[in-house]
Amino acid sequence: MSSDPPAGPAGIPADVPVAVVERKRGFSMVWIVPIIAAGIGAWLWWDALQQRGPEITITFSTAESLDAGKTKIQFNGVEVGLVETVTLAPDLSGVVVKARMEHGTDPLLHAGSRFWVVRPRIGLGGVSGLGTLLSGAYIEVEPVPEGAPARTFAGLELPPETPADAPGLKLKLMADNLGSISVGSPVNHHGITVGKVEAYHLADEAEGVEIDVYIDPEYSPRVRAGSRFWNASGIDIAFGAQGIKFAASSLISLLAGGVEFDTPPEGTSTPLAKSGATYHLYADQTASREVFSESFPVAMYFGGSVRGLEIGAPVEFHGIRLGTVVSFALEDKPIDEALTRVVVAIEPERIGRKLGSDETAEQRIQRLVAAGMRARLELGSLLTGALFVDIVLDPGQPATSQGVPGEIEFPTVESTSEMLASLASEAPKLMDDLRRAIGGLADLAVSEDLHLVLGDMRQVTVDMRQALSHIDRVFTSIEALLASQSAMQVRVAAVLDETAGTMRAVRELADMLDRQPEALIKGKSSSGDH
Amino acid sequence: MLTAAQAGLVSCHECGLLSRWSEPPRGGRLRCPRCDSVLHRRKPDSLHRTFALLAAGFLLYIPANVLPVMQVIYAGRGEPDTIMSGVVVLFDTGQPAVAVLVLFASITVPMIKLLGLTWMALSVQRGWRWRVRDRTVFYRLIEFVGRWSMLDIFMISILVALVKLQALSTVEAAPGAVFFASVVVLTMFAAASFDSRIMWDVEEASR
Repeated sequence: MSSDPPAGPAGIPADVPVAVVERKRGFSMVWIVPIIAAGIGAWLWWDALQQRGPEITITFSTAESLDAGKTKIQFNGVEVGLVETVTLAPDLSGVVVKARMEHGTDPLLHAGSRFWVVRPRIGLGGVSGLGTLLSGAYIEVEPVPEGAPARTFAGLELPPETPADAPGLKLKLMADNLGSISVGSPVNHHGITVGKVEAYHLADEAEGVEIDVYIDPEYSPRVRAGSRFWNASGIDIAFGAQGIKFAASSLISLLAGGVEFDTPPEGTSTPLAKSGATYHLYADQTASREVFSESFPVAMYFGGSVRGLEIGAPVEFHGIRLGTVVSFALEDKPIDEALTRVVVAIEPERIGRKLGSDETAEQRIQRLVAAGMRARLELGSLLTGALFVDIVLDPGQPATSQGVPGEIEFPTVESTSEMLASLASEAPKLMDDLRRAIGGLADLAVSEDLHLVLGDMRQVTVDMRQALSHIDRVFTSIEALLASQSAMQVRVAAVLDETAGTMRAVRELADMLDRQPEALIKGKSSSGDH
Repeated sequence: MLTAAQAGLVSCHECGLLSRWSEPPRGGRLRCPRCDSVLHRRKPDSLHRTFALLAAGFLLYIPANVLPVMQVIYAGRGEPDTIMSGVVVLFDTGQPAVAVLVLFASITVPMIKLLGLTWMALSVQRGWRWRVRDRTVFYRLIEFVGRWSMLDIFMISILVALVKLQALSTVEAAPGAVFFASVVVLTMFAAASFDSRIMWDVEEASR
């Protein structure tokens, strides 16, 4: 501002200095306002950056109820993140959810951490996620305590039934058929629920179903290597000598299916089960008990009808079960010599015996057959008409045997019912013979030579004749009874047929209930398949 | 054209009385002989104040729009709404008229104010002489319309006070509302501290 001093006004000496003019400073107090605003903005920005955690990617099969910018990620009820985008996977196999986690959530993000969507769910195990009815779905995270840090996760479709680090036993059951077992079905031991079914899927290698079950830690020592698991779903209806047995494990098992296990006496000394062990899931308790390490097939050929024989029918000796019918089929023969080949599996352990090492199964059977062992079909139940294979020791009976090489075979004999039938067909002839013989006797009695001899025996003869005519009447009535056209026999046969039909229907119902116990409540499913 | 300043006169901002200007002593001020309010030829430090308040307004305009202004919790469920998302929700729920009103009052008006005042302040600083008359009209328009930006804040205040049905439905103000209110207040101050006459001073000085 100060350059050459300007020429002063007249009368004022030129050497009087000019005052320094201070211009008003450019800074005014009002600039504090934007500085404060900038400070607030910077603090907000810094704070937001501080709160910002890592971005993670979760894949789900469906984005149902997931909203970008709204759905939260929670851990034990605390919000730890927010879904930012929901996009389709490039190969359309599912959806990719990108979420921004909050600051300090790294301990939740380890490889193996599980993410699933919490939606309201109503299942037989209970109602869960009711809170989300109002608040909307959220993603729950369940961390694993340690592991490599991860940012990409595969979301679970269903909430895990138990935490990954739960202290109980995790077992795998291999089953032929899932039946009515579902996730959450109980695992019972002596009727007490000790665990539950966590998941199931088709087995990777073998045919069948793989079921993951979890056993609560306090009951884990109950499971041993020799324990046996069976499907306790639904109702067990058994027709036995004691009548009809009706058993259901529990109402929950009835509705939701269930698994039961037990340790047979011979398994009590086996080691405790370890997590990850695999067991077979038997179809029912009986099947779980009838597990035999040894069995060998034996063939037998029957000439008569095998109506009423079923796969699974017992093979018995003196009423003790020895084995099971495995298959039966008509042999390729001319029609007039039709033969049915029945294959049974003989399980020596059923009678507490193992095959000795000194004698093969074939040798033993041959020895027994030589001693008179025969097989025949017997009626197991009058009501159902079910047949079983009865093993008898009857060296006197003529046996039929095919003698196919390389096949262990039981010779067969006619069953008692077949014998009865053939007896009935022979009865009229027998009756004729008897009458002729009696007639001859009567002729003899009236002859002159015998008159004297028999004089004192007349009374005896008269008595005898009376007795004989009585016998004659009896035989006549037997003949009438046995005649195939007899009205009563026809009626009895019809009644028996009808009863057998009814019983078959009941058996089918029982079978269906066994397969689909829920049919009791829901009715028969329209698709025949489960 | 003779201005009051050139004629050595000054008019009172408050009562409009025209009085003779005499240079105040250092640190002293002139007061209106009639209403005793402080007299100055032009609003003091007008450009600086306007620029400062506008800068603060711009800075706070960002959090005001990014942060949620209000959270409507209906039956336990509710997401925070920013101003823009509120407009979108209103539009989606079939109330386009209200949506347009809110959009105008809460987004358009503050933006016009901030940008318009900045443009006018810059024009004075740069000595532009282009369409001074239109700019003066525009300034009046800004000052008039500015108060409508408070519509949103007004609505939030009423809703927060009224909707207190606990579990059923609650409205809560969110931090964005404070920033938004600050922006509106700052732009009002900025408009008030800007003296439209300095635009004419530039025009006069160039003659």
